[in-house]
Amino acid sequence: MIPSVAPIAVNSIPFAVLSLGMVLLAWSRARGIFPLALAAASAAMLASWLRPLDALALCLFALPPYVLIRAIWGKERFARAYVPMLAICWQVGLFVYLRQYEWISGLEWLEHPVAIIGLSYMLFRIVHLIVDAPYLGHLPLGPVGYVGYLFAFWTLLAGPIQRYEAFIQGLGTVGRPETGDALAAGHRAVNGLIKAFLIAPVFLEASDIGALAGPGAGWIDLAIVFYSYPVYLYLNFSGYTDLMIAIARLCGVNSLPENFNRPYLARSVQDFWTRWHMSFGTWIRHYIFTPLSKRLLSAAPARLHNLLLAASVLITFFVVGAWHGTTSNFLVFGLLHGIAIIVTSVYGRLLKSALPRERRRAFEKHPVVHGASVFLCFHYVCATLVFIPNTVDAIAGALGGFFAAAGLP
Amino acid sequence: MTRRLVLLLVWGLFLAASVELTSRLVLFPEYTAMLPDMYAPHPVMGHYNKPNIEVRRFNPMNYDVINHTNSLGLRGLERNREKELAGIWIAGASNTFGGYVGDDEIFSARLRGYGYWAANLASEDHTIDQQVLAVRYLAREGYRPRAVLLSLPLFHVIRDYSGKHDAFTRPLDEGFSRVEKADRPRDRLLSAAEGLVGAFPRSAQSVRARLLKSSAFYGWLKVGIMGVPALRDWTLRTGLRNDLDYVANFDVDLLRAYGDGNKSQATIDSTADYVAAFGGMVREKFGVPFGAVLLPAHLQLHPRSFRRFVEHYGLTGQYLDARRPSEALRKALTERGVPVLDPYPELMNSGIGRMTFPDDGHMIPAAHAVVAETIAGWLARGMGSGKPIEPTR
Repeated sequence: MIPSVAPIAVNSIPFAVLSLGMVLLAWSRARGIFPLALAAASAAMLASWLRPLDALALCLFALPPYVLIRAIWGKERFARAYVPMLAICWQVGLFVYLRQYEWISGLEWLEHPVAIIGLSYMLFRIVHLIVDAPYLGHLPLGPVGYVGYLFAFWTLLAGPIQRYEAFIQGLGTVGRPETGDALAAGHRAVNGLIKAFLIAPVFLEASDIGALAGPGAGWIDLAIVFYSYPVYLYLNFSGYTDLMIAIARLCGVNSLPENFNRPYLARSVQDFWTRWHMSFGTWIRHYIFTPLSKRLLSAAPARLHNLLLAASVLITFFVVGAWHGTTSNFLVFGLLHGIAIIVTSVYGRLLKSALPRERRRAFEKHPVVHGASVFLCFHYVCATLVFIPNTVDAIAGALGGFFAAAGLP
Repeated sequence: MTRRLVLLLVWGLFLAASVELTSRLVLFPEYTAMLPDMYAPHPVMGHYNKPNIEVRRFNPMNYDVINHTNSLGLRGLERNREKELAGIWIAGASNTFGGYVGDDEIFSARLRGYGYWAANLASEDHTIDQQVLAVRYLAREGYRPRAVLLSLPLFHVIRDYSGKHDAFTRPLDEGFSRVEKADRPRDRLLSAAEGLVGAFPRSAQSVRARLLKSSAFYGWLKVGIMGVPALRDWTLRTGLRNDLDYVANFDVDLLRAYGDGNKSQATIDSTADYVAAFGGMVREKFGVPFGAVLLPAHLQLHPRSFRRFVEHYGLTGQYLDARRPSEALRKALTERGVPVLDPYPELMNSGIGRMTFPDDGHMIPAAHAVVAETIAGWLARGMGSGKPIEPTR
């Protein structure tokens, strides 16, 4: 950390200075230096979080890949080469080490966990660049662009995950938006601030499952805990995303992807992942599920395809769980979602075999069926989200205490 | 037109944020000491000083001190905790807590110079019944004092205590269970929602408090203005700043002759009854002496301020007497067998010109020193009528 300067949080005065300064720069005639300023501002924000050793660790994580990416940039013969694959493995290993998963030790030399400043988002961008570098030769790549892309302050802490093409495209449109667009972006920024930093904390207070084990907790408290965390998570995350997208749009950058599309109205867990943290879902599908399932299916006989597809789903959601956190409860979260997708898929097949196409569509569109699907999916997701802020032991202890007090086994 | 307004708005926001950031980093990094957060909910006392804090209290032209509390939340350093709690216990409110004077400048701490270790139980804004709970809480924790003194800040300590006597008998664990109950998710949700409503300031006063707490620029501006005598007077004249002499946070009837429709004597009797019951509890629980110390109010200590108060509110000719409540309370306590010390004469004869801070009615360090000396002498004399309490050194 820079002495006497606190880490720059999104709801802080320094962040306001930084982001409004970037907006004014984008609106000025000096907008040509916007990429450089973006890289500098992002590095400054990063520096406010890190002590020297932490910064060194982050440099080791983020800078060597640039040399490789630069070397294979636009060279399609490296598309399936071993070196990029090895680099990805190395990068993931380094990520697991620096992220301090619970089975990792020997990181005492780090004063501050580098992981909390968006290491996983950087990993996504690095993996994307390594995999796609051979095909991106038509785009410019330099140290300033790389730093700006990797550390851009508006996606530094929690995304959304943007592809390099979109990042470069966004830089190309930097400027002053139309007044209506600017007002809409300002409106969205204020909404985001209110959602993430004013309303969301109200629900976080009530979401502690440990409070269920205390005296006087009743069924209404169980319901409050059950619903509070999903509400908090959505408001906080989508509010944050609103703010970041709004800042980028105020700078004329319209290429930051949307991250949420009414996720709690999803009809199935599969549908949920196309509406919730959409940029992450896209990335996971693109870089894990699709290549993994393709590879497995191409190497196995057709009778095993369904099984291997299910295995691909489970492996993908194992990664999803591991990405969300460093403890085993996150794996449970991921696997529960994977299982739900497999079950939904089996149900879909059964429905397909039982009903002809038109009748099946009519059945699925029926308001009662639709409502029941949304209801079931929402509650299943809420139940799995309990595993995000709580360990399995904590959940078992709290619910055990609660049901014992309620006289239930 | 709209386009230009949008540009102006962004520039305005940017400049405001930049000015605030510059103020925080360069101009006035001390702003967090203007209105620090020092209190926390307490299961027994409702709220109390946070334990183990080291907080700067800063109000230029008035004070710039550090407040420490020990692991129990009592004012003072942790290393002295056991010695202090084995000595004299001093209960009270803000003047006794001494938030605007240094740890060693409070009269309770200055008693050490006379051979008396004293534990300061006070908390700003605490009422007597909360201090009763503080004494009971410490007793339950196993601590035993040599004597207990209750300092009574005039005038606002005088009130009707008839509904507060349960503080002597209420099970202390009830407080804890109340907190646990308040820990239920539904209570947390409601409390957080109430906090959300409270996040919007509803009066000019709360806007100022919010600015003082969170804006370095506002703090810097306030300090700067207060440093220029002409501007300082101007803020007073225009009402931007409260005139300390005009603060009427008490019942003016207390200053009028009692009887003939003035119910103040009943309030004084209620206060005296309560203090006497407190003394009875102390004697019963610990078997040690109990006494009351009357801490004079700003308007009592400064006759000119009192005259300004009377004139400002158009009370001239109504025979108001600033000393009347002290005399009446002293008499009522004495009648109930409570030893009383009123350091008013010693303070008035001390030669200190102004005994409270310029913008605040709390006592300055020199006044604390006079109170400490007076109390030490009183303890050595057996608090008027009892056995002398010997210094321990």
